[in-house]
Amino acid sequence: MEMLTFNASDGYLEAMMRGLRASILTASEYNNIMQCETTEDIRMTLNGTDYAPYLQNEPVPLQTAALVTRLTERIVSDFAGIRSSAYEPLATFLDYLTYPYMIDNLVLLITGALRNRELSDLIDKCHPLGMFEGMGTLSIVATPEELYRDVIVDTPLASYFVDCVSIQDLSELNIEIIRNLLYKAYLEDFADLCARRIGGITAQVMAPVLGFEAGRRIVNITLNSLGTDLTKEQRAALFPHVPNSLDAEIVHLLARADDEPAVAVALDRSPVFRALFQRAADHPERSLEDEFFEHEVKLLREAFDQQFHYGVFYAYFRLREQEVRNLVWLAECIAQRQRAHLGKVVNIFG
Amino acid sequence: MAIAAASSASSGVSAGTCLWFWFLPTCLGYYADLFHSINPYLFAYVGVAMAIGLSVLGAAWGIFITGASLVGASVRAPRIASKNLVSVIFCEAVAIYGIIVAIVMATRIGYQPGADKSALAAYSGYALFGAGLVVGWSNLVCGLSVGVAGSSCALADAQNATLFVKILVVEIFASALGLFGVIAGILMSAKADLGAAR
Amino acid sequence: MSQRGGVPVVPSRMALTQIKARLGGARRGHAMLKKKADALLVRFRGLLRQILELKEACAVKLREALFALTAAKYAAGEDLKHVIQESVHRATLRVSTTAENVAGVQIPCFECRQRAETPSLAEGDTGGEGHGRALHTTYAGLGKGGQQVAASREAFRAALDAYVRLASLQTSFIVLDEAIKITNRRVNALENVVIPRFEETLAYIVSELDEQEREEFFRLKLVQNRKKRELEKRDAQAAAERARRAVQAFAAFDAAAFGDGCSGGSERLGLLEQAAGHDPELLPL
Repeated sequence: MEMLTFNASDGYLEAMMRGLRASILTASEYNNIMQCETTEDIRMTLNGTDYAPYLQNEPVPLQTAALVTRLTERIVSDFAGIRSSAYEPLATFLDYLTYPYMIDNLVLLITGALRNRELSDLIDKCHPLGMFEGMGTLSIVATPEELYRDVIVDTPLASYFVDCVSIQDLSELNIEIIRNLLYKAYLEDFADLCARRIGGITAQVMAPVLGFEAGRRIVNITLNSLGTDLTKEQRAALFPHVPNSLDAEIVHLLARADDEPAVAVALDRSPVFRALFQRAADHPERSLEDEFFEHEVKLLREAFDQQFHYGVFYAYFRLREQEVRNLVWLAECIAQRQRAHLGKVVNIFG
Repeated sequence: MAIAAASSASSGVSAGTCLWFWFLPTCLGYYADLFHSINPYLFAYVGVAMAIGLSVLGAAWGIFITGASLVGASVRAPRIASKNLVSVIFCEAVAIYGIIVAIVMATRIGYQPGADKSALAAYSGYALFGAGLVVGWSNLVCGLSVGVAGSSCALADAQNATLFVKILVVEIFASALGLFGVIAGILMSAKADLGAAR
Repeated sequence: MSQRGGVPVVPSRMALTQIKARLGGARRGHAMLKKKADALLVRFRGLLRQILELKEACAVKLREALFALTAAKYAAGEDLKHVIQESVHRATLRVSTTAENVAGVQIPCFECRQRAETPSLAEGDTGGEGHGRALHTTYAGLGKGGQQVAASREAFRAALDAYVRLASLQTSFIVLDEAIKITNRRVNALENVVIPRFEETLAYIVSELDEQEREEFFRLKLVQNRKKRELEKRDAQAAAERARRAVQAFAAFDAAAFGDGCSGGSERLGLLEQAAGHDPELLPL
């Protein structure tokens, strides 16, 4: 039925999204960039793309930090354009896309508050997509408690905080644990939004993407917590539980894994992750993270195969993000003369 | 799957079914009389109304499905706008089918005193009603189908210009569905005569 | 009699021995300083080579580290920098200084030390009581990119280590350079000023002493000559006296002859004048 009703409110935006997707850099453009000798050449190459207006006012030579800022600016302007003309429930869906950035920003602010930093200085370092309304009042906040009581409760993330992090935890838990707790709550909530509150094709399309995202986080948290003080209970508490993710049995095994072989054994039961793990092991120059990125891009690309669903919005912004990562990587490689590593970028559309 | 659907349907309708059987033995004759007592002109004009109304509904729906995507996609790829008007025209054609059939059907109806009492009148009324149903529904569904295909066509064309013709073929087939209804409708209404001929 | 660059000294045997002793000391000092300078120079050259190698290694390591950071940023997100910056509160690496003695020169030597710290769950502060576990001081990149962050951390640690060693070598380089300069100046001063001066003084004293000796010898000869001549004259006089007496004895006692014998005194002065010749200095003798 979504075929018949979807376009009434979201057809225009979806079509626009697909139009924007056409401007995502292709393999041949990446090849052109790889031929560049300096970052200025990259600017020249990008001048032939949508990024041209964003880069033309940058001073010579182009700095990679400036490149990041400008490219991010582009994503933000895309997002603002889409978000401003979205109806419910697309508006909610789009808001959910900003929550990860908001989590990062809040975590940064909490860290700053714990270190007694001037919070208004930290706002510049926040990701522009993760800005929230309470940002303006930050200057009056001094302690983590005030931050919790006056700012966080007004953000859309308040419910995650209430569920996962108490006011004491703010100063006692490691900030990275808070971040991952919040992200877990966010991911579960987002999956619930897609599966139950929106449903339909969106649910179908988003399920594998979010499932993979959750699985990736579980594997990453497991691998990165090996050899640290993080207890197994704490580790298991950080695992997001999303349908279509890893099987409960694998998650259980991962929660008890002591070393990398144990992780490998656990992942052996998941065809997707086993393949990724195997490929990362076969290619020493590629890390597991690279494989994850590649697989994620593949899943996101598949989201464009169907019409009349919100997955394209998610996929578009995630792919853009990957594109920024790619471009920054290429620029850094070229600036640092590490041309051997140029091939690490993930081609988004062949 | 089928069993599940049937069981869920039976559980939902079971109350109604009981009621139906309760009434059936005594009321059955009255129902037949109900239809007999309705004037054939009513059937005929409801048929005409359905033919044009449902066709326009289908066409309009199809146009907005196509149109929304077309407008959105042409923001980034303006070249598709004029080409993809074809999709809108296909939807529009559905409404045209409807109006053609409606005109054909309307010419079968005329006022003659007592014309509504003959057996031919009853036949004509049902025939025009049936033709209206056929045309209306087939055009509604055809319009939706063309609309969805047209929407995809606009998006696909925006991505890759070579896809336009290929999807257009799909759209043409979708558009042909309505034509089937039109043919059937014209055939059905061909024999009908509700006082128009005399 | 001038003594050009030499030490002001009275040319005497005593001064000679003194100067000789001082010259010997200077020579010995020169040799030792020369040896020290050579030792420092050997060390210096080695240092130079090491610095060169290490500088190249540093450049490579830093490049690697920066690249690892890029990889970490790629994996963990661009705001990794801020996250790390905000969550660091105490340096885990410290530099300690020890002194090394090379041929009497104190050279500062830096060393990178890991301050043991465990990742504390309460960020507050329990760090520092270290159980010897040094890695993973934070959970940065726990959700994604943790391995890249860890790799980046290791790369930077290696780079920092190399830089501390380089700093140590550079400081030694400067200190050694200074030491070598001073030593060389001393060596040169000894070689080109002190020793030649002593040698000159020595030569002067020796020549003076030789001169004195020659004068003495001449004087002795002169005196000897004169004495010999006087003796001859006296012998001759005595012989003449004897002859005259003999003649007197044999001849008649002659008043004139007797008178001749009395005038011998004036003749004697003339002889003396003849003997002294052109040298007026000998005259008073």
